[in-house]
Amino acid sequence: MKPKDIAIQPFLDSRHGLCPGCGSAIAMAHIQSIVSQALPSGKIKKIRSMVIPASCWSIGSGFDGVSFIGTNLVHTPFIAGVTVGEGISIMSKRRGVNNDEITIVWAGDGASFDIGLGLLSGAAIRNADILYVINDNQTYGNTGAQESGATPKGAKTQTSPEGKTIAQKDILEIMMAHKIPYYASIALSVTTLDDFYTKVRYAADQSGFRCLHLLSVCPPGWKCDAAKALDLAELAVQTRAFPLVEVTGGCLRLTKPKREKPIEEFLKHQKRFDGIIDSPEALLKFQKQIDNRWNYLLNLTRPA
Amino acid sequence: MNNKLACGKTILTGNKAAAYGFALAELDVFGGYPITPSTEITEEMALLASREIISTTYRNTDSELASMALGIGVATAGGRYGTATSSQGLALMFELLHWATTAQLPLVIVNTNRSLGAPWSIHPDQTDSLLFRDLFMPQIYCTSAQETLDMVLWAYRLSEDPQVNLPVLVCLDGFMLSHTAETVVIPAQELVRKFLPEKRFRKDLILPEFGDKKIINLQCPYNWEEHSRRKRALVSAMQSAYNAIPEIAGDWFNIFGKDYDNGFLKISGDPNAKVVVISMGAIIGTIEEALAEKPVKVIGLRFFRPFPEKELRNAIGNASKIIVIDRSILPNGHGVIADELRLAGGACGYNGADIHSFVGGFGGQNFSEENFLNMLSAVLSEIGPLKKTYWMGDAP
Repeated sequence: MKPKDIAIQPFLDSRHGLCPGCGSAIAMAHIQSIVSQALPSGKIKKIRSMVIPASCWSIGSGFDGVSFIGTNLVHTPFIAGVTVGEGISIMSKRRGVNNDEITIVWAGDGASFDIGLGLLSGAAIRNADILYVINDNQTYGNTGAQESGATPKGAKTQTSPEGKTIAQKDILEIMMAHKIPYYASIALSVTTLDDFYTKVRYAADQSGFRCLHLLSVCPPGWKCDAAKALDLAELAVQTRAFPLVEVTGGCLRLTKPKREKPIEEFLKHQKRFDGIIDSPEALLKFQKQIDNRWNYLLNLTRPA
Repeated sequence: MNNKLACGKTILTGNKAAAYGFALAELDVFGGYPITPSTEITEEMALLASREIISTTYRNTDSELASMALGIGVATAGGRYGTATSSQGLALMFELLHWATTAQLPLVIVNTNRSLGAPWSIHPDQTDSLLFRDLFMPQIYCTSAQETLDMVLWAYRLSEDPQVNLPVLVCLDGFMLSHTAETVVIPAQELVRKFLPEKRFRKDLILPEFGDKKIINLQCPYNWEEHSRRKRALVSAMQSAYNAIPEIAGDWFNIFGKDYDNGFLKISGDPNAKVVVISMGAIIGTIEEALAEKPVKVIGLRFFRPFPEKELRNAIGNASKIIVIDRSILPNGHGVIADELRLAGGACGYNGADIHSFVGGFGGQNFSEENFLNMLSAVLSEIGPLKKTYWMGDAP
């Protein structure tokens, strides 16, 4: 099944409160549309609920009891989303409907890399039957773009005005260490659409703890043009700033971008990186980091 | 699947009695995380579930935060949930406990009382659970192992009352009760089912059932009118809990033959006494024994929340002196029960009776019968309360 065969259903009500150009908003509509169609095994699953720990979606996805995303919503405190999702999924299993419905936890990078990391680890190692989406915009978006564990080193945020000085956490390796059945990084853009659809469909079809690491372009946080969201997602992949990987059964697969570009092509559209763009030395260092990371991942793809 | 729990007379510690209460409540899910002195409850539940003596899904969680989060998820999906903790664990749950109460999700937490640090102590006082007295959460305090088992079942009945829908906290004193073995009668499962039927749902507070086309948005932001309505609903849920307790006590008597009176208080001693002693938890038994020959009435609070103002007023009657023994201390220098009484009954106490407030029991301070006798003679020899709080063991 090709992406064009999946009609984007009107999951996202126009009253939603996400920003213009929000990468997460468009990904939400696509992911819900994909999950709600017949999956590769032929199964059709109903989304039991979208569990939302504190994030832009806490205030953007509905009001006064009305869901603007077409499915049930369960809001939770910042730290608790993944385990609340686990509790809901255990009840699906006890009622014998765990193959017919799916619980999705849609958590930001703050909720996943930082405040909720302990609970995320617990739910992952228990192999909780949920689809966990890390909606990663590399910053605390809802509070106005402060530094998170997912912020790339060197990027400026409201709490790192001179650029982040410490490393970006490696969520891929953290999740790999938990031996979960499925992990994939995904980016929504024209040239990555096939990859995006294939991974989301596969993840929705499986059971157990499945993690999708979604790169969400955040125009206010990244200080970029709102019309550039899809282009920036594509550039993140093409410059290897956001490598597309897939981990099944402990084996890592790395998708080589079709058209490779130097890192500045991704950085130059975002004011958060102007400290790097303005310094040839910093740019070189940044490129080196990207290359090292890529080679490191490439090594992981080779059988031991 | 039916429980294969043996019923009848046996010997159980307070902790094991709590676990049997959970087992008889036929939970969907129990979330376990160890902490002294409640750990035995969690171990017993793990044992009963993994040997399939009960059909509960047991999960080892990764913290008390996770065990509360799991409970929020289970209750949101219409399941029956329980967990046990103590002290620091209860404190760690705070954010999610507040969330569960204000989301009106029924579930039960057993708290084996233990001092809340600093400094480190595993000894029992009531500073942990009483920290949560401002939550919309009924709190029950047990005086025996049997009562602990019974109160876990009461807690589910109360929690799932359609007019209540609140988490309920059941407290038993660490070691004094949790690790002391007593004779307990485990009631038959069929009788328990008569008392505690299958979980009833308030559909507006949880996820729609599988196949239901209705779409719901739980705990999203609301306009101020609706937000205020939710706050008022919490107040009326606590009032409903107040009204439901005598009915629960009545049903318990009808089904099991055990008389808990109106449910709120445990009263013993001289009914016409001019001196009443009020306290809470496992020390009630020691107080009763120490003062058995004295002209006093002993009142144990079974329910601290909702605070039984009316029942206390009746029980205190025309007494001229009220002695309150607290194992907690507030920034204003009052013990918590004494503070509540002063708040509820005016600075002079109920019906003009003076309140003599005693606090202590911290860091393992043991109360002997002699302590209570000394306390009584000091109070009797005084005209009025000279200090707002006496520390147990100090010369009055």
